[in-house]
Amino acid sequence: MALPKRIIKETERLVAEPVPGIEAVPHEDNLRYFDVSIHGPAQSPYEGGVFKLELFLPEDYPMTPPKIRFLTKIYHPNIDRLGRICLDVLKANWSPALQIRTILLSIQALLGAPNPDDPLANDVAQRWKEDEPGAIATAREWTQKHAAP
Amino acid sequence: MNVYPNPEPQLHSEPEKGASDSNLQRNSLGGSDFVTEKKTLANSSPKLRPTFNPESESYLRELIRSLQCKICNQLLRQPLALPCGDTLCRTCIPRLHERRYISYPSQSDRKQGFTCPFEGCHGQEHSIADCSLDITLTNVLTSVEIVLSDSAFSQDSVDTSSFPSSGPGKVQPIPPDKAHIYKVFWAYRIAKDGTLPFTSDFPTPPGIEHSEGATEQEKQHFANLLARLRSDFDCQVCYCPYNSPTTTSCGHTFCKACLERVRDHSNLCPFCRKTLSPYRNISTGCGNKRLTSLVSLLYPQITADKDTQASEGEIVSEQTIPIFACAMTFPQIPMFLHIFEPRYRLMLRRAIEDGTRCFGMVAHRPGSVPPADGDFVAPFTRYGTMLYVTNLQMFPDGRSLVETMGIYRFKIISYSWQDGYPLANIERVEDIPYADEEAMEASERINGSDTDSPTQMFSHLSTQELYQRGFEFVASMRNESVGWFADRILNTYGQPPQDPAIFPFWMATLLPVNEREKYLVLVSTSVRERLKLVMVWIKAMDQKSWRTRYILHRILNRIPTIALVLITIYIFLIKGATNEDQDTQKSDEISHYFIATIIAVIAAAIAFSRF
Repeated sequence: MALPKRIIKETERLVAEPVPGIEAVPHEDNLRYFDVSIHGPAQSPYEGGVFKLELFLPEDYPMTPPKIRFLTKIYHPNIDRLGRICLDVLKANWSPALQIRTILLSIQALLGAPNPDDPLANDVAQRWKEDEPGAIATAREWTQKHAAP
Repeated sequence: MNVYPNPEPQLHSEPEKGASDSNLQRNSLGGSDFVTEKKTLANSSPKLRPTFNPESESYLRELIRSLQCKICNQLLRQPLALPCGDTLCRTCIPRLHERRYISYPSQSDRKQGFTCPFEGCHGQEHSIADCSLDITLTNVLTSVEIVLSDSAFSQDSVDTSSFPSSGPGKVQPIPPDKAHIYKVFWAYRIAKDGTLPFTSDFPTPPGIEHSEGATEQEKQHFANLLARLRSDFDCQVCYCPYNSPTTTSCGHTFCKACLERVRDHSNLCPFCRKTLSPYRNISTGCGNKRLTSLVSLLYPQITADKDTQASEGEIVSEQTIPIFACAMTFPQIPMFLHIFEPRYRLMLRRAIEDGTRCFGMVAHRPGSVPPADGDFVAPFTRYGTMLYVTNLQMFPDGRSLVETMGIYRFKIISYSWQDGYPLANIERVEDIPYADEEAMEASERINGSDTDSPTQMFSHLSTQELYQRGFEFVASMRNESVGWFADRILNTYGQPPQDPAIFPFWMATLLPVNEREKYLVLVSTSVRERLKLVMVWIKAMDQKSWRTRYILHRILNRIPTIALVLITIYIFLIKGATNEDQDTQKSDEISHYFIATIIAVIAAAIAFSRF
C-alpha cells in the first residue's frame, strides 16, 4: 500500500529540521519502521547515554499511535525489561495532531522526569520510592554500561 | 438586519465584462437590488473556480472579499464560524435571544441563540454554543496583515502618508509602475476601514490614471504571501491542504474526511481534546465556506489534485466489513456471543488477525420486510451495529466466547458472500445534528405532531422529560424487583445510561419487546424519536396492567412452596391421628409416611427449579 503523504512529510521534516538530541531514520526497505536514538537529557541519570529505540507506524497511523520500544537496556520506573514504555500519549491520550517528533520529545522528557507513581517496572519503581539515590546510581551505572555512545 | 441580501462570495469569480459593468452600476443603487442581480449571476456560473492570476483585479478582489465580513464590510475581526459554514465578526452577531422549548442536549450555553443573518440559511436559528472562533482564519488574517504591512510593500513602493483612508481625497498622481501595487494595498486598506462594500468590484483609487500591471517586486511579494500562508492551510491530521475544510465547535479546522476518520476512533478534538459536538457540520456536510474559497483561490493546483484524489479515494474509503447475522445489538451496549459455527470462527479469526477486532452484527429477518429496509433483499436486516471485540476466550476445539461492545450503527449498501459469511459495504448511520434535534423538539412542543403515529401522544413533552420518565420507570420497576432489571442483568449491561441518546438502546436491550419494535429504535436517527418509542413501550406495559399479571405470576411461582407447607401439615395431622388410634396397622402408617415424603420431595424439586 502506498505510503500516506503525512508519513512522507513527517520524515522529510525530521531530516530537514532535526530535534537536538534525537535522531530518527527510516529503514530503506520499510519506510514505516524507524531506527531512533535519543540522547539522555542533561542533569538526569541518563546523561551521556545514547539510547536506541525502534519505532513503527501502524497501518492506521495517525489514527492510532506509533509503536515504540527501547532496544537499549535502561533502568527506569516507566520502562520495563522488554523496553516497553508507559506513557499516556502512546496509549489512551494519543491524538492524530501529535507526531513522531512530539512523541520522541515526550520520551526524552520522561527520561528527565521518571514517574514512579505510575510504574511499568514495579521493582524499579519500588526502589525509586524507597531509595532514590540508590536507584539513580543504578540508572547511571546502567547508562554507562549499556548506553555508552 | 435579519436577512442580509448578499450572494455567496465564491460565485463572483470571473464575471463577463457586461456583467461586471452592470454590477458597477448597481453598486451605486445599493440595497436590495443586489439580490436579484447576483442571483442571475449565480445561476449563470454557479461553480466557476477563479483562475489563479494575481494580476487580475477580479481575482484580487475575490481574495480580499474572502477576508471581509458580509455584515460590517470590514476585514473579519475575531471571525466566528457558524454551523451553516458562513463566517462573521464576533461583534457582528445579531442580538442574542433565549431559545425556548429545547431541552436536549442540556447545556446552558445552548440556550442562547440568534437568527442567522445570511441568505443561504433562510433565517435559521443558531445556538451560540455551535459558533466558534475560527482559529485557522484568525491565523490567516494575521499572516496577511503582516505581509501586506511589510515595509517593502508599503513604504518603499508607495508613500502611505499620502494614503486617503476613505473617500476621495486630494492625492498626487501615482507613477504607472507603482500604480498596481498601490491599488492592491489601497483595496486592502479600505476593506480594513470598512468602506469597501462587500459586493462591490475592485476599487480604483483616486490619482491613478494608468497602471502597468504587477511589477516583479510585487509578484515576488505575492509569492511570499502564498509561501507564508501555505502552512496555515494544512490539515493537522493529513498534513495536506484542507479538503472540504470543516470547523469543529472548538474552532479547529480539519478536512472533512480526516474529521470523520478521527471520529471513528474518538470523539475528542485532536488539538484541544474537547469533546467534539458529535454531529456538527460533519454529517450535514456544511464545510467552512471562507476557508474553502481561500484554499481554492490560493492553491488552485492543489485543490484540483485533491479533487481527483478524493474521487479516487472514495472507492477505497467505502468500508467493507464482515457481517455476522445473529441478533439485534445497539451502540454502547455490550453483547456476549458464543461462536461455534465454522464460517463465523473464520470471520472472527480474520477480524482478530487483521487487528481491527471489529465486525458488523445484523439481526435475522424471518418475517416481512421492515419499512426501513426498503428494497433490501437479504435474509438479514439492513441496519446493524458495528461490534468491537473487547474480550475473547478461545476454546481448544475452536469455539470461542466473545465479549463485544457496540460502536456505531451502519446501513448496508451492498453485500456479497465470502467463505460462507456476508461481506458488506456499509455507510455509517449518524444522528441528526443538534440544531435539527432542537428544531424538532421546539416545533413539536409548540405545534404538536402532525403524524398519526403512536408516538404522537408524547409530542408535548420535552426531550429531557421523556428521558426522565423512562429513567423513573426503570427505578420503579427495580423497586418492584422486576426480572428485566435484576441486579445480575444490570451488572452485565451497566446502570441505565445518563446519556439520553444511549438510554433507548439500553432499554431496547433489556425490555421484553418484540424485535420489530426494537428495530425502529435502531434505525431512528433522532434522540427524541427514540425516547418517544421507548415511552410507547412503557405505556403499553402499563396498559396491559402488567402489575396484576406480575403479582399473579409470582403467586403461581409460589404454588409448590405452598403445597409443600400444606403436605407437611397433612403429615402431622395423619401422624396425630395414628397416635390416637393405636390399633391401626403399622404398615399403613409407613405407607402414609412414604407417600407424603415422595410428594414433599417432588414439590421441593419443582419449587427449587422455579426459582
